[in-house]
Amino acid sequence: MNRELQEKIQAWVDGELDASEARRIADLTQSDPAALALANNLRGFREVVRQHPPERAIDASRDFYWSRIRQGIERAETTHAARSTPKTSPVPARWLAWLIPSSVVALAAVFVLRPDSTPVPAREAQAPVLVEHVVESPLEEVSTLTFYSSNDAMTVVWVGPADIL
Amino acid sequence: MPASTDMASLTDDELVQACKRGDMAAFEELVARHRDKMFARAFRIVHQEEEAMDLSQEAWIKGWQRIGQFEGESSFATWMTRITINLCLDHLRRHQRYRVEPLPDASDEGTGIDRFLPPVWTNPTERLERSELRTRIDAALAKLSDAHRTVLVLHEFEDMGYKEIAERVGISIGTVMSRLFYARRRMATLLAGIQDEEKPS
Repeated sequence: MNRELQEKIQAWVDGELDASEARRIADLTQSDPAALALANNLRGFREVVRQHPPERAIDASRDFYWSRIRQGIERAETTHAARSTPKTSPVPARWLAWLIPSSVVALAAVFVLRPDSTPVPAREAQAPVLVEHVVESPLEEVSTLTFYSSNDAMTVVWVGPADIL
Repeated sequence: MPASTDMASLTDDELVQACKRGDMAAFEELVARHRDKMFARAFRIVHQEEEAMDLSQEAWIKGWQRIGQFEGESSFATWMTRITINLCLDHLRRHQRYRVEPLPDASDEGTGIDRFLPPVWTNPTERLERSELRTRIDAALAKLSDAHRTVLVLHEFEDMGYKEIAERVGISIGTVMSRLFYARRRMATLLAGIQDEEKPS
């Protein structure tokens, strides 16, 4: 008996064959003692094994076993909460790399080139004064800092990462 | 919400409803009731105690996370069993333990068996006591490869058909038939003590 036929007999015993094939194997077991013996042994084996599933019990206390589960649940919930925190709109670093310095240059240029009809006399020269933020960044990652230098008659706006400014 | 001392008197369904309201004490009670069953199922598949312990605990964590999806179409234990088995199958797949190692003198699992296993099927378990039989079945399962044991366990103990096993394990139905036949044959041989090629000569 070849392996294919053995597996067909097994499938017949397991109820996995369609009606026509099942009939063919049933006929075979009537005429072939080896096929019948195999079918009977497969049935016997299946019955014995199914009636005696190996049992195993956990060799740990209820508290110990549960504590690891509880920790896992809490850890997963913490991770989930961290992941679901809404993120600010990310600005790619490659954009910031050129955006920040070019913004500084551009803003400085605007104030330097601005015509000023009332130059400040030398005696009235003062140290640069930090003024309120007059230029605000639309991005959370970017902050601005503005101050006015009366000596130079110039307002300077620094633009940089929020965690530095 | 019931006091923790009342948990033992509640049914599984009542505990599940409490879990859905976020009552972790109710879930602890469910774990205590069914932990051995889930561990035993994991152990039958992976056949290593530490792995089975980790996998069963992981299954309980997933059970808690998905309890809201449990609608009671089966028993809670059946639902948890499915989660446990899926985790075990994923675990074996991740560790590439579904591969069948070449048998001695054979290039694949389908040839060469008859050369070193007796072609006769006998009922090898007559006269054995029930507990002894369980022990011997357990020991015989341990000697199967993960690939063969998984197919046998899913078919005999989880009552899955060939098609479902093929889908869950990710192999063809032909491979399921082949592995199942080999596993049964080897198991029967081991149970009968007819021949055990792993024993020192």
